[in-house]
Amino acid sequence: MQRLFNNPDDIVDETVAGFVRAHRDLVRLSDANPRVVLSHACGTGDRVGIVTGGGSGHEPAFVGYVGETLVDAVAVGELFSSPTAKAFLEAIRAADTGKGVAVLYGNYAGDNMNVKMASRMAAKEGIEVRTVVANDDVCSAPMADRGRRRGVAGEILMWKVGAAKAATGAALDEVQATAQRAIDATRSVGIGLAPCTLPANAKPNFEIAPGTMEIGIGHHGEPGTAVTDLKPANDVADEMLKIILDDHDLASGDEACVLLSGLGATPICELYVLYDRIERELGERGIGVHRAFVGNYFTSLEMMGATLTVMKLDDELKELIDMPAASSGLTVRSAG
Amino acid sequence: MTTAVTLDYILLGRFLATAAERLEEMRAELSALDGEVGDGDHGASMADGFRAASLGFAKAGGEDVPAALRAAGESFLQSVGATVGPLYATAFVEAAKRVEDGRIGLADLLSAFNDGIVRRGNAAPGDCTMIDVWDPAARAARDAGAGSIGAALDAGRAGLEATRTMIASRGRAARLGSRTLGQLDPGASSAVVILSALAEVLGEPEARG
Repeated sequence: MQRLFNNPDDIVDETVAGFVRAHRDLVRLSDANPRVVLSHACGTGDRVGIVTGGGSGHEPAFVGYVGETLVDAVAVGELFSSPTAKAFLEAIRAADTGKGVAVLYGNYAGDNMNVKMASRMAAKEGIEVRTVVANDDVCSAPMADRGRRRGVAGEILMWKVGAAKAATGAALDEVQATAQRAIDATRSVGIGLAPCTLPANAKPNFEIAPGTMEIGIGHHGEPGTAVTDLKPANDVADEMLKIILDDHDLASGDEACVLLSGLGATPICELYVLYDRIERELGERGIGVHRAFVGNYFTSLEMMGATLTVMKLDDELKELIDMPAASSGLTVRSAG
Repeated sequence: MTTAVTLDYILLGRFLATAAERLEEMRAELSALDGEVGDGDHGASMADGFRAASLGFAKAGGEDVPAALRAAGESFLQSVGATVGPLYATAFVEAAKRVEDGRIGLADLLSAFNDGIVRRGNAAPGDCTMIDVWDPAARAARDAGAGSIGAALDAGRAGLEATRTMIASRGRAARLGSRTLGQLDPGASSAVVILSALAEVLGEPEARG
């Protein structure tokens, strides 16, 4: 295993420690819980607090989206494992300014249970909590069963929109409704070219045979819908786009926000190769890309492959996506 | 007629310590099993969780057994997220409610684990989860009248084996759909490790393995 770590049990603690050191201009560690990372503005101002959390190994998600006009507090879990209910509770406490807290997270059994327990405990302390569960991963369940779909990189756009809405001073119900609208307008698909390995397990969780790719793979290697021969980048881009467009109601004249993320081990240049085709193909269909994010935004350790996320924009979503924001994982400077 | 098997603070403490030890031994194996069908974190979550629960239980002391069981659940929740954090934490809280005069019957303990986990996770028998072990084990212990750990362990092992023929519909393994066929469910596997630890503590022969 060609990896850099000390004791596998210490990876998450050391990741958080290094992250907080490197990005001290943006974040700090909670005094109350060593698995909670806070933005400097967390808990200040007259606005709804934005909280998320998830397993480690997806960096820059989730800690990388703590920042200005982005996430206020993140609960950090073990590698590929939901954070504790206690960590979510502490994140909620820290983010509350009296206006309530929106917990915007991904649809996984562990996260669902831990957020639910934390929300209940927070409610007992008098903190108002609302949740929005991201379920943008098209291949994880059919549309008719959307409640079972996983949340993947679409979460980033949901946080961006939710946090921008909160920054306008909107009430908790409005922030929740807008974040929900953001994720409802978003679809994602992943393709895997090579598996990933949890250092403690020393061997890959699953196999992807050389020369093949897995379409619809999940962020922890959950199997997708098909295994095919590895094709040229343009064909892969077309395949990903087709899965999203078949599921989405994007039409000619619409505008979109596109996020193309590497899964960890795919060279960034290859992401741009894919992206070039994707924007051109969208253009062919009369769909304009208002803003694009290309890079390693939501990874799965050293998995090889990429995820494509497309959000259909309306005037409000566009304005919220464009609102300046700063974090180590995502920075928006001005209107696109 | 045998007397009902009950556990006091000492036996419960031994049970938790033994379960923690056996889960630690199985850490890599359980994670590998989970890697086949889920995200590969199950061994670590269970080993860390039971170690925390065991320490929390020991630290609470034997004066108030329900409080010690709640402390075990609290420690589990503090230490482990994943899915098993809330599930086993709720199991311990449920067990705390069924202690009488500092003791809990074996059948009550197993029923409490089953009921707590069902309440939190909403899984039913046949969903290919740990409930496919806890439900038959709890039933067997009740049916055996006095509460036989041997019968519960046998029923639990049969339940584990049955998960091979099930398609997961809960938890992260659910996303795999039919590809879980033929696989042992990791949560059911760790449940049998816990039951075996309980049998070992209660002196059931051939509990190991």
